[in-house]
Amino acid sequence: MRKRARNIVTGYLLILPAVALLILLLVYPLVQAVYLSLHEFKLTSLSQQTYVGLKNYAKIFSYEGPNFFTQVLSATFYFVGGSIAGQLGLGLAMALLVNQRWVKAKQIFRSIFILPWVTSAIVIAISWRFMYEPRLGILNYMLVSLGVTDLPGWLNDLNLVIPCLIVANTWHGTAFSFILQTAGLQSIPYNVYEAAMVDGAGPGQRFRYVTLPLMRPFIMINLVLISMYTVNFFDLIYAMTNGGPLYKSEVIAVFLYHQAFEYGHMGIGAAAAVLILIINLVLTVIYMRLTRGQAVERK
Amino acid sequence: MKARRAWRLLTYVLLVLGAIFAVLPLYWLFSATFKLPSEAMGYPPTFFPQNPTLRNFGTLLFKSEFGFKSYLNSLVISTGATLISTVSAMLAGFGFSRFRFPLKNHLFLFILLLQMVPLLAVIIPLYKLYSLYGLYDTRIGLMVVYAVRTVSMNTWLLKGYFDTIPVEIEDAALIDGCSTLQVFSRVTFPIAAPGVAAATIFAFFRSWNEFMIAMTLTSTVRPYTVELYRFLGEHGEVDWSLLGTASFIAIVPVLVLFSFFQKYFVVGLAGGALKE
Repeated sequence: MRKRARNIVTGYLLILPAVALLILLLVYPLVQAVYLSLHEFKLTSLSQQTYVGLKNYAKIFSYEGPNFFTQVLSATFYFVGGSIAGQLGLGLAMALLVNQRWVKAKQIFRSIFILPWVTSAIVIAISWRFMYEPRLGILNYMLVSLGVTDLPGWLNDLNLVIPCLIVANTWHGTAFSFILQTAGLQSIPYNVYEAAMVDGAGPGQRFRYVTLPLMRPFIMINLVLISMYTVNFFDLIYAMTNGGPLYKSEVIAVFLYHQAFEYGHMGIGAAAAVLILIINLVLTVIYMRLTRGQAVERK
Repeated sequence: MKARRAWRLLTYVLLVLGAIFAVLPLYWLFSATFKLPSEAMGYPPTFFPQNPTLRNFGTLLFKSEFGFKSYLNSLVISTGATLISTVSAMLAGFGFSRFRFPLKNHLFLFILLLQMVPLLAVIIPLYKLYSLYGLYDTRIGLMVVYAVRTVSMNTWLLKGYFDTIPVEIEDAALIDGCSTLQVFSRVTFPIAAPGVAAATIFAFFRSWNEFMIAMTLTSTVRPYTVELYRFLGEHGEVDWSLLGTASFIAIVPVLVLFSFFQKYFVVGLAGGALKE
């Protein structure tokens, strides 16, 4: 009995540092974020707050520069949707290509594909700004060599800015989908394919009736995880366009930051943070449903 | 047979194109490192440096406003954060794997769920806390908050590793006369070493690349990511060759390091997304 009590104490002591870190710097601030979102609270006077109820939320929803629904949310969904399509599609395609049994130098291809993912978002922003640079960038140079005269302004172009950001983000994030889908493909035992081949299934049929159904849970989980990362992704857009031109790329993450640290409306920023949390919560619930489903299937 | 050979050829063509696309933007920036400013910003752009030069390194170090100390800050902060994250995750992982205590499963799930909370959502309260309690603009302040970003994932990763080590091995060592500490250092730790390596690398990369928190919570002890951003913003006309050089110094050592440890990194990451 003594030994058991000692075990309990040791167990708690071992997990204490990690739990303490998380409670002090994540859970407590989380509660504070909700609390602050109900208060008027300025960057210039941090210790003063006045309770205003849901006014901060009302302000967000009634803003005109930028409008929350037609500008902020629509830019966010545009960016997130495009990034998902690009990253998942390319990541899956590359994983399928590399993981064919006869491909040589797999490890080299994998290392190269992962490079953009381990590079800091700031360096990525800088290199893509250099690519998109209208006068010096390599993209416009190539267009000129092809004889194009009406050169696009890329990040300065109202209609091109989000697609440009999606391309940069796809370039950065595809490796994550690639790794995840590779893990998925490796989890399919080869004898399943052999069985399909014995039954006379061609490559197309094997993909359609063996690979795809077995990859489904991985694809779904990947989808949710990318959405989460992309909704919360701040660095790239902030450093590439800072929300511009004309709020065209003002996604919710950048909106939060501008409100809080540029205009000093910390309360409104906190309300935007709570909205981001709600989006994350919904995605987390979906994610947990999916992983649970996967665990059951495996058993 | 012909169709199969055509497909194989096409696969390699696509893979090589993918590899080129993956490298091109970084190559384009880094090639400016070895060009004179007149070439980097001249017209037409050159794909390979015409007169390769190392002059930009000197200019960046002695003649520009770029704060070289930011690299040191990044190194200190990332190392500290990695230590805090890995050690506390190792303790917690071991605790969750080997001991029984009330609410254990709830606590574990709670830690896992916290992984889903983005730091962006708590940056405002953090700014307030840091300003009020003297943590603003300190290295230790960034270290602990960076540790928070990776500690839950690492706890979970290392618990998984400890779970695969049979308790019988530890018991045998105990019977042979090892103390509990010796058991951990001579038996458990060496077996779990690949997991610890993965956790370390994960924590270091995440800290080394972080930008948003650093920009918000520091003003003078800023890491290189913030310094790069300021360098990009402060000049009306961007000096791409210096910017390329500064990015090059920050990223290339990490890329080299990464290519050595890539295996662990991928294991940690793929495991993190999938295992139960």
